[in-house]
Amino acid sequence: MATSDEVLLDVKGISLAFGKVQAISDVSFDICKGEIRSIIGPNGAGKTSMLNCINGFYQPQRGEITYLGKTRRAMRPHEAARRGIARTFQNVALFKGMSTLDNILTGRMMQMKRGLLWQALYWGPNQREEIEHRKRCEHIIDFLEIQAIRRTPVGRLPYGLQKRVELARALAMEPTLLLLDEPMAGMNVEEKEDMCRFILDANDQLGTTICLIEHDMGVVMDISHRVVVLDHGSKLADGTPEVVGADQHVIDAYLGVEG
Amino acid sequence: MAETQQARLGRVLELLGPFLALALVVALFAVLAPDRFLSAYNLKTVATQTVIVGLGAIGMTFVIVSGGIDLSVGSLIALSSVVTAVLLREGWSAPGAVGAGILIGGAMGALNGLLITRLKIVPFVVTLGTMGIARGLAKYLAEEQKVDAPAAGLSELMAKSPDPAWLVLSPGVWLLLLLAAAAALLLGRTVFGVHTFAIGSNEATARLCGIRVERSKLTIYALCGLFAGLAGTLQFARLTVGDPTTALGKELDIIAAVVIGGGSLNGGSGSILGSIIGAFLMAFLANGCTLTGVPNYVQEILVGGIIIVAVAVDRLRHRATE
Repeated sequence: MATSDEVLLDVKGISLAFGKVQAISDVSFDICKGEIRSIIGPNGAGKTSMLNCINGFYQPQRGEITYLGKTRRAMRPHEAARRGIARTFQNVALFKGMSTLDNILTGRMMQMKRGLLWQALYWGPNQREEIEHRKRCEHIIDFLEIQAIRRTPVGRLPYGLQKRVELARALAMEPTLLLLDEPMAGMNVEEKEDMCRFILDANDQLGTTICLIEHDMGVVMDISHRVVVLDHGSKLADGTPEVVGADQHVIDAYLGVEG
Repeated sequence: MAETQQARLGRVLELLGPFLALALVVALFAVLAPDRFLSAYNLKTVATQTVIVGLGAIGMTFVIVSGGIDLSVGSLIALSSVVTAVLLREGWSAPGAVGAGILIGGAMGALNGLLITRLKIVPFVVTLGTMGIARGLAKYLAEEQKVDAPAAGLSELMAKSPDPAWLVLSPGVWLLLLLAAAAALLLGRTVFGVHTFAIGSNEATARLCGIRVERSKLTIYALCGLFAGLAGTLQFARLTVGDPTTALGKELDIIAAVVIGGGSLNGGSGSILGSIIGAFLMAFLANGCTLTGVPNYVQEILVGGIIIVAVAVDRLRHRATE
């Protein structure tokens, strides 16, 4: 999907500390509508903390976040979800006892509108609504090619597939902004290729803006429109993959390590 | 696929397990004391004895599915029965006193929910605290003795042989079955029910999906309190006296009923039907032991053993899915 210049999310001067440990100091960056934006940096650079600030898991001490024209210091998780920010975790965040389909349906629950009585009765308008939700879920299942495991409890799936179900759960929310925390960690090359394809397709076909944390530099340089580099909680560089890849600070601090 | 077939078999066994256990207990006592155990009168007695634990187990199912625990329900039953009795003694009408008894349970449940979500203290500790507080409040209101009060027709609710004979079972039993059906719909068919499962299954993910976890938990504990309050008013109806020391340790019977019925203390699984079966199993066991002259202490040992077996089965099941 072509990126526009319209800013979807603007992070300004965010600082976050846990006691005396400064996790993020005065970091600013923006995410434009329709782009794939990557956050990279060594371990402990504050990448996950930044995502946690964006979707309201953490409340930064300073700074502000503007999302879809609304500015605030701290988001609340349910509010972020309601306004179209979905998220996956570094370690898989799924309902292990539930089937793939139920996990994905739960991702949509928020959008169900009928009251308790209608839901309990099931008939009528509620039935139509539920059928509509299930259709959308099936669409996402097709999209991510996980038809074969629809009914399997996700606790039994191999790790790579669990990550894919997690992506499905997040996509079921029909997010405007999708935050992915190391979606390819622990995957083999083939699984990584699949995941890359799904991320690109989600961006291209569903028009989802994506903010991604990833350690595999090849992947990051390949699929990102822009990259922001964090180190020890501060912003080191920001720009297109080419610009960032050529930045001497970045090479010294991070890329150089990989040789 | 072989795996899905195995999964299906597992699910069937999960549903059938409590039924099989109940059938086993009934069959055992039917052999040991055939004439008395299976008599219509005795079966009615067992059904009536199930009401208190059954009502508590309905509320507890929501709590346990959400990954929590409520140790205060036994004390809430006592508090509610005392409140009902005191108000009747003061001349309140029966519906007013019953309503107040139910509401005091709901209010204490909401207090549990508030403490758990606002102070972020684990449910075990919060409800251990309110267990003491509610029991103490009950004793204070009752001035540390049994409260005699006019039954005001309430005892009909728990009469073993109901007044219009065509009811067959006492109104309390019908109330239990009706509320169980409603609760099963609430847990199985509504967004609130799915949220309850989601929170118990993985709280962080539930938050990510936009579920207002705090609000849901508050509702869940308040609901559990309401059911305990109702159980308390029926306890008064059964005894026609408000007793602040009643239902001591009942919370454990109630939790056991839920666990026997397939509820996992890790959260994320459990069913209303299973919990009601569990409550019946406990009642049949107690009744059968009494009829066959098995001493009380053996009964307690048996119940303890059954709880451990039920949890062990639960662990095995979980190992199979992970």
